[in-house]
Amino acid sequence: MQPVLDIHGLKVLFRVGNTYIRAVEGVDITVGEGESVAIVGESGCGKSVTGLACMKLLAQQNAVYTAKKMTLQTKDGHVHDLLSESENGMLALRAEQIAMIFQDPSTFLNPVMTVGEQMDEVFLYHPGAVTQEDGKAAHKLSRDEAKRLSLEQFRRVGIPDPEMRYKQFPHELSGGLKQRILIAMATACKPRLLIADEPTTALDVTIQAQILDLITTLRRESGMSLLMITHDLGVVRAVAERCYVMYCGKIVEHGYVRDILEHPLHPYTKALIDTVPGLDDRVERFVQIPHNVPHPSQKPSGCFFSNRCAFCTGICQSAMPPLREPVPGRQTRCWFDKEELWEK
Amino acid sequence: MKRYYAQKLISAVFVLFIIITLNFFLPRMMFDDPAQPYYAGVPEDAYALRQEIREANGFNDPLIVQYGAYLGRLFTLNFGTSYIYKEPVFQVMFSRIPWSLVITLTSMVVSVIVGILIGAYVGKRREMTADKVLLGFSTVTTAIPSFWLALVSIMLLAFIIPIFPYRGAMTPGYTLGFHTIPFLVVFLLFIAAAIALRIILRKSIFLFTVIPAGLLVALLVAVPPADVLDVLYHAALPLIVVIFGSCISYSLLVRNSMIAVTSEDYILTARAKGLPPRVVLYKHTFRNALLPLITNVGMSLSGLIGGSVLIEKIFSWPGMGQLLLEATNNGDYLLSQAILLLFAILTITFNLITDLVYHKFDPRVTRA
Amino acid sequence: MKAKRLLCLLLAALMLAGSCLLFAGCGREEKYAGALVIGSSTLPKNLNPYSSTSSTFFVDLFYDTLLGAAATPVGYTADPENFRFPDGSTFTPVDTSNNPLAFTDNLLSYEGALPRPDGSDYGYVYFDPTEEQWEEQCERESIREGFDEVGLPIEETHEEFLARAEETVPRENWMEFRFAVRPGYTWNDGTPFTAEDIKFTFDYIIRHKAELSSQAYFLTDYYQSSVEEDGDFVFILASNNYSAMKSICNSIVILPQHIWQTVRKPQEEKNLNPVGTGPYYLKAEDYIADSSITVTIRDDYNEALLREDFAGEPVANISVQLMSNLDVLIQSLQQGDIHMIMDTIDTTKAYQVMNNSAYSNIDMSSTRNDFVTTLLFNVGPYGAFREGELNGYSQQIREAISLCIDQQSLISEVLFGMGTTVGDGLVQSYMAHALVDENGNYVEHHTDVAAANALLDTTTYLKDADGYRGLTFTVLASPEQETLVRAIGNQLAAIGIRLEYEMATSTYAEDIKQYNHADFDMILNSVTFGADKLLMFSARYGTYNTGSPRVFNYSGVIDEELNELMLQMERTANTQQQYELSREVQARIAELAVEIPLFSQNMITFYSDSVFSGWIETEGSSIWNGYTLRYLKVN
Repeated sequence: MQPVLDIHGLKVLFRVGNTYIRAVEGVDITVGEGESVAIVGESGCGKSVTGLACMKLLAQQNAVYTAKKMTLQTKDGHVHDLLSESENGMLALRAEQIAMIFQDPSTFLNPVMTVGEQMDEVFLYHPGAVTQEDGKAAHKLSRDEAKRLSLEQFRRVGIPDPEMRYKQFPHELSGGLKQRILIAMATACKPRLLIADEPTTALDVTIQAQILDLITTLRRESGMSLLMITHDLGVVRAVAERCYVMYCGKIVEHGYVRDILEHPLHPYTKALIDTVPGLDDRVERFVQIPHNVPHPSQKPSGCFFSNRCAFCTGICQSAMPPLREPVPGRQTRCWFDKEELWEK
Repeated sequence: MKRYYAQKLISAVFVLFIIITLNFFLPRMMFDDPAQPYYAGVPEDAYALRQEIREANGFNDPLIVQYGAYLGRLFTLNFGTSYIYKEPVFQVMFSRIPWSLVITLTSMVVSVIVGILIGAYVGKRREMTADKVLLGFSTVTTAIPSFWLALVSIMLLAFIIPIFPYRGAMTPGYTLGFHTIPFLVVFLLFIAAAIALRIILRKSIFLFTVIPAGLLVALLVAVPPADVLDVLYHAALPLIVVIFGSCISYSLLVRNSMIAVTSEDYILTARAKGLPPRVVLYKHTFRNALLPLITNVGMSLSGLIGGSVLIEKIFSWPGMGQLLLEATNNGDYLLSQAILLLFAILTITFNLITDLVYHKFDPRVTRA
Repeated sequence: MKAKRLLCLLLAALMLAGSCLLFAGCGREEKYAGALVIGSSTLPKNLNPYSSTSSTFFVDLFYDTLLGAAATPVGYTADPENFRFPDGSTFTPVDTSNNPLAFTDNLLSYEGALPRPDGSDYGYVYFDPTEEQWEEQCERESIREGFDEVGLPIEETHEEFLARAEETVPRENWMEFRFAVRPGYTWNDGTPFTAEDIKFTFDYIIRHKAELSSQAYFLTDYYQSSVEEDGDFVFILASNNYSAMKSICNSIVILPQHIWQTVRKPQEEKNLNPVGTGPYYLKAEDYIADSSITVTIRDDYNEALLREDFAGEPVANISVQLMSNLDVLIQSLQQGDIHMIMDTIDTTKAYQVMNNSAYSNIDMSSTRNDFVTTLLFNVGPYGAFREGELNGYSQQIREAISLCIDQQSLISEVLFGMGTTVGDGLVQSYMAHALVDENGNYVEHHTDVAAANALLDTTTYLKDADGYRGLTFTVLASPEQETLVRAIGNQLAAIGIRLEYEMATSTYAEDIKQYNHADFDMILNSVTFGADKLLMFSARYGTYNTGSPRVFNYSGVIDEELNELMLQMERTANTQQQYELSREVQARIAELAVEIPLFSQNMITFYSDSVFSGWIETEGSSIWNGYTLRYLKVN
């Protein structure tokens, strides 16, 4: 079956002065219809960039994309080649077919416009996504119609008292509410794919649960696929079916969430899981991964994780391991298999 | 929000009150004899006459009575008689204000508009050449003193290539004819239309655009066209000099603001919503980028009346700045005191207006 | 894209050029074509001849003085042999054996205009203080304890004055003058001019003496006036001060009674419709505040200007236009848009312009100013140079300083010097005796440092190892004269004298304090030299014939002989005699004070001869003066 999002070999380079920084080095990601996929990794591993690259939202002056393939299947079944799509084409695709929500709702909403106005915009500029009473797509919406739709959308995402909220400004709302509004804006046209870039990182844990719940509900209602980008394994477990682990711009592990979390194949994944303290444990010291994530311009030779890996050997330092599939349905970028690793 | 307005209003009124009181005490601080400004022309030894003047102007009354009388005079706009003009001070000032406004208001409007256009162009494109050109011009205009530029422009454009005149507001011998009745009729019509539009269409934007437009049209109707052309002809060179400097600085401001705002996160959201670039630019970027410009313009509004002393002196333009200069040079205390009071009041008023209006543009300010 | 951008730029440039060309054609018809245009950086706001903020330029255009046009002297009584009118005429004395005191019934007792007892030296026209006021004045002017401002012990003066003010003692000195009014003479609004107007003017001034103090000053000795049946005007001066007469005839502008009798506050009168006897008048529409004032010539201009010999086309309109910037004025003159600059030009700018060949069509008039900057010694009761001080060598030291100062080098060092040769508006210093020699030439000054040193070596102040004689003096001068003081100090170093600069304050009251405290040794001040003027401000040398209480005596010289000479000068109207007396006065002052005239700032004005001619230079004024007014015509 044709996946909704199909990316092969995506590379993203940023031009800084005379050199290039490799933010993403050859990433393969697929998201199927109705599927929920997560990309996990620490800050700076290139996961946000991957998300932005899918929407082609990176600044055109500095960013260079290349990929062997990057396609999106729209609601009508047509497959668009995102690489060669023009900006005008992208305008039509964004919000209607592929949408994105972001990390900190405070800075991602325009402070001088009311949230209602910002919500209206989505409808006003994507009238084609709105089905009218006669079943046909609209050509142009009036302000009142847009308002009606916005209020409806607010209700859908669970915003209480939408009429009052409609007139308010972002700084008058709480974090959870703002994130709901961002979600409302993103899902207004019922896109095929929603990319969520760490949507809960800036929120309280209880609100976090609400938001994740909302996303799940919306997904169920409309069959929307989800690409969740996060560093929080708890979120991954709650929301995703499949998971990609990224490190330094490369995918280091891939598989079903259940499998990965119970039986990680890559040392990095294991280390990530180990660093999360359980609520029951009483530990003297937290588990840490030694050293820091390398700067994109200073990646080590050989395996990127070599300088921090507990199981590092000579071969790890000299050559980058390929993405292997030791077990069907699971991929890992390590020279060694799990049993070999865990024995050491 | 009403509290916000009320707070601002009250504090402005308070500051105004303090300034008015300070102004009352000013002659007492400057001179031993606070009636000194009223003695103008009367020699020191004419004691009896001086006593008469003191008595007539109430300087022998108790201080509180004097203060009360002073406040009363302020409200009736009685600032005394000017020593050099032999006319009531208010009349002298009032006749000069429109001339000042011709230069300052026009130049401010034009330079803001041109500044926004240039700044937006440069800020949007982020091209190296456009950037460098703007920054180069900006350095030049900041470094060059305006009076030097004025003199050079007179030399080039009024003497060497005699396109423009170099003195005065009108050709010598002509005065500005003004027909009051047509002016009032047209202006009132426009005001009525503005109010009607406001009520019918429920948007206050009409008030702010139609009324100034109406003022302009009424002025054009009331003043004979030959006079209008004459004034424009004479104002051309001073306007060029003033606009050149200020529009570059506004452009720089807008350009910097644009660059800052374009890298903000909400622009990304707007793009992610699939909004056309023009919409992103005007509705999202501009609305935020122009905020510092509004503050800046609001601050410079108080310089509308008396701000361009040097330009007025060089071009012999009969504005308020030159009036203040003359009053100070000739020891006309009453006139200079009144002008300074006017400046203070205008500054406070415009600051207040800016504060109040700014709220409409940036809703975040109520928090602060 | 690039092409579109270029096109836009091109379009913008074209629009700019187009609008510029449009502006070129926007100029209006000159309203005053053919007028004599004078550029000025200030324009008077009122045309009141008695207001301090008016302009003498315009007063000359609109008004005349008593002798200007209105009246001719007919007769006088007092001192027939020596008296001459300002225009040099003499007339047969009219028998006036009637004693003015017969008019006692008509004695107009204006406060202060009292008949002066013989020998009374206090002509306070408007100052008749009570005791408190006197004390207040003394306090304010910080009179030194025991002495008043003219250097007399206080108690004596005070009582004497008050006593004198109350007496009416028969006078011996008075003068009566009779003037005949020109027949058929009119004001510029057509009303006939009569002697009533003259009498009205005099009475008006006296009535408003508090406000019109400078004019009232001239009428200090004014006793009364009347209009005779035959239309003559007669007035009496209660003194024998002929120089007052000169001032009265030449300075008091005659006002029309029918206009000014309703003016209650002369200082507040704007007078924008001046009705005068002058050659020009002002139409209401030609007064544009802060822009231009244009006057039109009267139809009877020749009569108005008393010029029967005038041949040529008179100047029909004179337009004074406001141009606030001097550079713009000069450029405008060079271009021919204006014909004269009313402002005086400072020497630096004049020097630049005159040496620039691009401005060769600008003519320059450089006339010697009345005032000469002079270095004066404080020989007063508290100054360092008074008699007996400085080990008794005060006189020698003064002479030595006088010998040492080299004017020429001072001028080139300190001033750019519009006059680079002696006599070009500069007054030479002199040694001790006469200002001018028999031929009326200025005496050459010879700097002789050796002689100065030799003179000082005869005193007890000898040079020590550093060459310093232990003499340090303070010079009181205004801030802009600091360089000059330092330059003089450099020169005096050659004879071992050190000079220190002290800044004179800028307010009048402070000046009084400074001068009366006499804490300085020398002063740089402006004095008038000239045989036809009363030398200097007489009060400075302690004479009593002051007309104003606003006098200060910073040198505090009280010398009977000097007083006598100066009184004589006042009492003669004979110019030749005044001239001779002035030389004696100068000599006497030199003995007492030894002052060193340094330089006079010339009055430099720019004008152009290309369209209008008849510009006449006179000493002490710009190219615009009464004579120019009389002879100005179109080329």
